[in-house]
Amino acid sequence: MYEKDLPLTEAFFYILLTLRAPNHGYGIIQEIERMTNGRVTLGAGTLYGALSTMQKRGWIKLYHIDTESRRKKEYVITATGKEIFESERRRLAELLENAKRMEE
Amino acid sequence: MIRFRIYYDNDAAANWLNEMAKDGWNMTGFFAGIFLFEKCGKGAWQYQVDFRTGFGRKADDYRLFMEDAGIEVIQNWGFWTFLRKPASEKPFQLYTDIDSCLTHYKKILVMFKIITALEVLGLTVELLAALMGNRPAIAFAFVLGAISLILVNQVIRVKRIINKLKEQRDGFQPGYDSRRFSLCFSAGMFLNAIVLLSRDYIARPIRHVIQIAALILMVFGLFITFRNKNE
Repeated sequence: MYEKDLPLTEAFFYILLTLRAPNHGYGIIQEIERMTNGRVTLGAGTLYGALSTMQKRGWIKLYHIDTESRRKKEYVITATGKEIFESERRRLAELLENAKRMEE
Repeated sequence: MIRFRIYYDNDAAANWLNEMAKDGWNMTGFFAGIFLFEKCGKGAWQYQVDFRTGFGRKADDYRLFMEDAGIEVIQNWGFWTFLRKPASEKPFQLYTDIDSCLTHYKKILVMFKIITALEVLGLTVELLAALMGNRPAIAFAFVLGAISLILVNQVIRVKRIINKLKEQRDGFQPGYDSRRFSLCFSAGMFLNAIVLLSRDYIARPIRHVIQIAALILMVFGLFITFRNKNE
């Protein structure tokens, strides 16, 4: 049912993955860098746009808005976001499975 | 230091600010074409110009987000946001994948299309007034015409960028070729407007000289426009 949203861009994929636990803007950039050993560094504009798009689509939500004391916005994945991620994972698994045929 | 420059092209503006920063001139403010620079440490900052994200609360949100990522929002002005971050860190890139670059330039394209349409509307009104014998209207028509051409150029520039990005993403894209208008033509139109408006202030021989210069610029501009296809 999420076929039209797939494949995810690398940025979307890693942002969803990172948001399995609540995180804020710069924290997301850093964690993705760590996970990919520095291969993927998201530009701030790319991340800002991706976060607002995914929030609009209901894939992620604000974790808590304690407006006065905490100024950094934290985000976390939603149930819909998890389903999207799972569909993408199945798609990628199929790719990898089929890739094995190369060795036949 | 203060410099006056009019940029329609945000990437060209960012390039210029980075060049200035290499020489130790760091941009600290902007107002209506006036750039403020501060002398300190050569190559200390890297600059970028983003398409503005909203107003009021939305703009505050953006500012906090950027600050968190170590990026300073110097100023929001009109459709643009001027940003910088220390040069000691990684190269300053706002958009790092094709999809977000596309979204970014598509927003810029819509903006240029809307203001071009508004200019052309204004131009039509002035032309109608000119037809009814209003002399200043002719001059304003020239000014609006000149600006419209510059804006049309921007629409073409941004469309080309979008087309290149799509080509990168999809592997192919039907070519987009459209020529850009030479700026000489716009300059000629501006001069024409000056001649028309200065009838009572500038001596006739001088006006004739300006008029001839305007004509030469426009003819030259047309020539270049038709010669430079897809430059």
